[in-house]
Amino acid sequence: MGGLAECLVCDHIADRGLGSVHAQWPIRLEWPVLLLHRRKLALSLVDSDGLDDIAWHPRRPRIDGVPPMTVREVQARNDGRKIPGEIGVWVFILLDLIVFGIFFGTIIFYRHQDPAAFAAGQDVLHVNLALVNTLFLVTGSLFVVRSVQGSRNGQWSAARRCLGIATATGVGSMAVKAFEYAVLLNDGHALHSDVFFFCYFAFTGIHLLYVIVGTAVLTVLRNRTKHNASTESVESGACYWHMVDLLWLILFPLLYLSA
Amino acid sequence: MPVANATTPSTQSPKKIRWNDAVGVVWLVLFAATIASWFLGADHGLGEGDGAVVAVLVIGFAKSWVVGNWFMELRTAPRLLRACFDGWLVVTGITVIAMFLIL
Repeated sequence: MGGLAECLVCDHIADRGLGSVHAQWPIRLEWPVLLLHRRKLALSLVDSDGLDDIAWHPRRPRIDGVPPMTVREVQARNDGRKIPGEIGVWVFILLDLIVFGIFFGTIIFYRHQDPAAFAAGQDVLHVNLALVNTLFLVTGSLFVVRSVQGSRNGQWSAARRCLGIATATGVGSMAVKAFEYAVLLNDGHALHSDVFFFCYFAFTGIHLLYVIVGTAVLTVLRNRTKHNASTESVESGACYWHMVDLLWLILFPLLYLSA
Repeated sequence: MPVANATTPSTQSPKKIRWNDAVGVVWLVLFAATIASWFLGADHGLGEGDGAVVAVLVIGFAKSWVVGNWFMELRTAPRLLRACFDGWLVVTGITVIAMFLIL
């Protein structure tokens, strides 16, 4: 029996026969998925004729003689909820959020230690450039969302276009940041100038690294849309990009607007 | 390995990407909120002092929540994942603003 097998939880699709998909679930479903879904987890089998929809509950495998659930039953149990992208990307995102949370606390702490340096430093910063940077990242996020929608609809050329525009906003953001750094360095401000510029260069520098990686990921995904992209990989890259965006949305007021 | 471009059966005609949906509105809100926080924070004579800083920080965290729940689609993600994100945001937001006000 052939057909496409689709995991309701993680968008995994396999063109294997029924038996091999059934045998696949203990390997495919890593512990974070099991943790998140517990009793709700299931693989469904979407046959090429679209009729023979069968799903298995991992806790009640078919080999125990328990009848499989139908897709409708599983969807009712999952309440239509699913993880966007790969679960591994989410583990990475959540860890990054914690690390940046500590960075945010560090900025406020140093601001308290030397308020004069922060006030003077923020006076020198170019808020308008940071505003343009923010708008680039937010707009990039919109196009990333559209590319995910396109990949879900099977519109790979539209997805490709949107990923291209999102990549361009990433490059724009990098260019703005580079210009901003150049102006500040030219004015004699550097990492070691004072505690404010230490925070500024260190934390925006780390964020810039994230923007570079995010832009590279979008470029790779865009190239892949030609032949071997999957919706799941586009979703994973999208979530990473959105994380880069949302971290900047907090760094922006913390560093530029808290004078 | 996932099969290439296999999410839509070939018999089904692909839907168009809609540009005027909720996500478009969300982007407009983020855009406007960014301009608003820039206006509040960049010495435009409006709200000097702690109040303005707290306002721009709250706007920043609120925008992050919007990005997480709408762009990252955590609204429709498993509740534990959504709770992890929302929990991080609330704890970080309250900690940062409390540190700002108390220290």
